[in-house]
Amino acid sequence: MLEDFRTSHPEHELRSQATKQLAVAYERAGKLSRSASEYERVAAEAEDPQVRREALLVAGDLYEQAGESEDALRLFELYVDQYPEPVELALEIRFKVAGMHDAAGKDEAYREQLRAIVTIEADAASARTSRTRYLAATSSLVLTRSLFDEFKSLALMQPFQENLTAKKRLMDQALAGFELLVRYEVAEVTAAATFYIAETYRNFSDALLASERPSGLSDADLAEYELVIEEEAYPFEERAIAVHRENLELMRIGVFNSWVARSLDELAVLMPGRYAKSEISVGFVGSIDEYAYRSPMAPEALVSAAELTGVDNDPVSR
Amino acid sequence: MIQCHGDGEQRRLLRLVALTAFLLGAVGCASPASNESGTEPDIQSRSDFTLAPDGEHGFVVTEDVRIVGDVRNDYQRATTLLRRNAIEEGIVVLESVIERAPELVIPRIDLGVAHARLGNHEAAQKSLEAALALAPDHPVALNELGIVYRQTGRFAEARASYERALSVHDGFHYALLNLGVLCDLYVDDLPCALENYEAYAGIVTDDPQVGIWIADVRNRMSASQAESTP
Repeated sequence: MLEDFRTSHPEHELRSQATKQLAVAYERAGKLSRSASEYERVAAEAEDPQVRREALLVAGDLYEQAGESEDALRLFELYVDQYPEPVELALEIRFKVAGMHDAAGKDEAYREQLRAIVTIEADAASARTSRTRYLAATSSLVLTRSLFDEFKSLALMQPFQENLTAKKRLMDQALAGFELLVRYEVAEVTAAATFYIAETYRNFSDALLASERPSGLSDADLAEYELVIEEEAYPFEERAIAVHRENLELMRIGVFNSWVARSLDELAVLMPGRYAKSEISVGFVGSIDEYAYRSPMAPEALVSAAELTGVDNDPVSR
Repeated sequence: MIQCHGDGEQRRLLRLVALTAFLLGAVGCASPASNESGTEPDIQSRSDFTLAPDGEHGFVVTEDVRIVGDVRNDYQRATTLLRRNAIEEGIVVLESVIERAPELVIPRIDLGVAHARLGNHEAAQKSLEAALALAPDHPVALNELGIVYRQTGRFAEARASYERALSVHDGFHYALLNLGVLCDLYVDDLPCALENYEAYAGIVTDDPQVGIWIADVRNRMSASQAESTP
């Protein structure tokens, strides 16, 4: 009926009211796509900028809920172009847009949005908040990780000196990028950056050890070359260990996240005697109304506790 | 030391509700262990647990409950699935067991362990806490919850959980090792780590790894002492 009214009275002063009511009615009826389209119309027709802005966001959300991601993306992109302020909300929507590009496999568009988030946030002055810092730090982490990936993918093949120079340059760029991330003071991103700094050193050490050996060396020269390579690689591994251990320091101030856990996992490989220590789970009990525990040192200890209780004795991952 | 709480009448009522739900085939609605919002209602601790020493070197926790045949069979089916590493399928069967027999503790513990294996820490914690609401001192639930707390960075709660398990049976080697690891790697309490590793090594005499860990902790303690000596 409202649609009929709107069609038959295109210039009527209550026409915009009819559109709003239609938007709400469709939403309540679960017709999300129809509702989104009405809200989009509200956004286009409303005179109040505040109403236009909010209607655009609601329409985008509804398209997204309805699974119409192209329309959702179109409106969110329109939003960030038209409403750069308030900054926090604009960055939030831009972050959403970035995620949609990422999900669609549009890597360059994804990165373009992430770069925009970092730039806008850096220029936001007093509009910066802990949330904008988080969004910019997370975006910057993704961008810097690309530098790490590029660095990691470069193997030290012959000509060795040429590749070594290129790899060293990429290492310096990656390290500088990760160091900058720490300035955001976002615990999760700091832990991630620290993890990657350690892994950058470690990869450089591994790459040296795995580097292509020059041809034509005598056995004695090759042995000497191996020694030199090991001597060159060792300090980078030591540095990797030290930086991973810095990440563990975050636990002392109550920060424990997947990056800290990953540093611990890497240390378990690099220093197993010190860090390769896992808890054990009893495992599945396996008896619905009874749990029987027998110590492994019981007199009948030759029968293991596991056999008696059905325990799995599983090491636990971090 | 598992506590006896609640009264017999309440217990009978709980079982009656579960049995009625089972007979009606509408267990999801009638089960006192679940509600529409998916949150656990208050679960009363139960009195029909016994924790008996089994000689000097063990204990047995028994639940004195009548278990309908289908529930027992389904539990066994869930266990078989879980041990075959069909964790998600095992979880579905366990949840059905819990809906029909909400008063049972062990299916909730197993469900918690299953969720933990999938990395679903929140669901694991919820299930293990529900088990402990029924049996506050169940050593297995305490040990597994300690692990989940540690995995989620709640180190103080993890420590309390392991310590409570050890207050039930001080030779419970799982909790000894886990408390040692927590103190060693996560909270930097080396005397605690050493004490618990040594207690564990005294019980599990054929674990060569822990001998290395003990030596490592001793070295670090000596180094730390040397550093602090002027």
